[in-house]
Amino acid sequence: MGNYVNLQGEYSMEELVPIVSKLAFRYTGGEHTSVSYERAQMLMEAVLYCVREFRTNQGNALMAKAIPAEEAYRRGQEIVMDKVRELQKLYNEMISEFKDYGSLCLRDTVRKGIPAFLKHYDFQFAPQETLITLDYPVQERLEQISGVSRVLAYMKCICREQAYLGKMDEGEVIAILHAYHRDYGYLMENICEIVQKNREHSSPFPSGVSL
Amino acid sequence: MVLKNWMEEMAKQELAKQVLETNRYTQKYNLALCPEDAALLAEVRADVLRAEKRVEFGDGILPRIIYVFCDSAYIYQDNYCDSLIRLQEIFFQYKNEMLDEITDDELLAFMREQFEEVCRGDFDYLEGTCLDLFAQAIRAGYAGYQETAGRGEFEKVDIVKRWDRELYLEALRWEIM
Repeated sequence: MGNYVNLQGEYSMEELVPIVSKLAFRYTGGEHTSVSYERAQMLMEAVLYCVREFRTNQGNALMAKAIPAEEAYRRGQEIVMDKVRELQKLYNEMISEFKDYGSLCLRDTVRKGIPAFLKHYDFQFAPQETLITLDYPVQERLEQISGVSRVLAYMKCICREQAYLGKMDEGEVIAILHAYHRDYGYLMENICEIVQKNREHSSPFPSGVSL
Repeated sequence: MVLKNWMEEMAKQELAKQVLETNRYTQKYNLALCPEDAALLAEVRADVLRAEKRVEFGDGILPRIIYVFCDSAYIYQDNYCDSLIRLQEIFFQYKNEMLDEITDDELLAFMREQFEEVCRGDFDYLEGTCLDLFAQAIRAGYAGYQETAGRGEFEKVDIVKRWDRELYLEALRWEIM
């Protein structure tokens, strides 16, 4: 809970605990008057995640400060939901034209990982969880964010890569990758970066092929 | 989760107030808690929650424990406060032991039934035998208590053959015949 310390200066425990309390009631369906420390921690992080989402997406910092914690949480939850919808839309739009260029890591992360995230993501009680490992590395550093924000940012990186690689002939891309490493398909490296670095130096044809 | 001291104090005061309000109901069973008892119970609750690593939100379980057990044949004014302390400890301990699979009401129903009919007011037996066996069953995947709301469950998990009055009388009738 790294940013929790920063938020302490903005929203006090007295403001946050009642929100967590209501969330705990919903989580337990009113059937449990107590929860374990782990569960309470998870719910507190859920509240903080939404509040953080609101503050990050709020253009006017002064206005953001003036909003009560409960309202910030509610608005943050709406932002989280919007991001889930955006992720779903982005995925649906890109998947029909998606090319993995033989990279197993890219294929599995996009074709299996992202749908699994969309299926299991708990926006209400665990929005802070990223759930999937995002094994295929993208060119942007995303470690500082989590949950749907991270996966959405990740998906946007994938879309940008697809757009860039899509401008080239598929055969040419595969040839560059193959020239880089015979078994590039098993590597966990960013193929866009490989193509960008090796494009100028690559032969237009795979090695061993005579004209 | 770290709570500021003053929030804990507020929670203790609120619980003490709720507990004293139960006197209006329990006095018909000749049970009543004084303010010192209520403060002690609130203090013990904070200690038990800390020990069991649990957090209570909203209304605590103690008033419900009071309403469920106040008409017990084994609880009277002399042992009232100590009994509630013990019941509270046992309750939180077994919420953890049962991995939160069982609701508060189901656990209280089971505890009350066992306390009265099997344990005959023995807290050690309730904690060490009845609840232990039941918790083992739940951890192993048993979920039959959901249909019965925690009632009549111990027979299914009990490992001791107990004397059945009805069965004895029937056997006696057959013998006479």
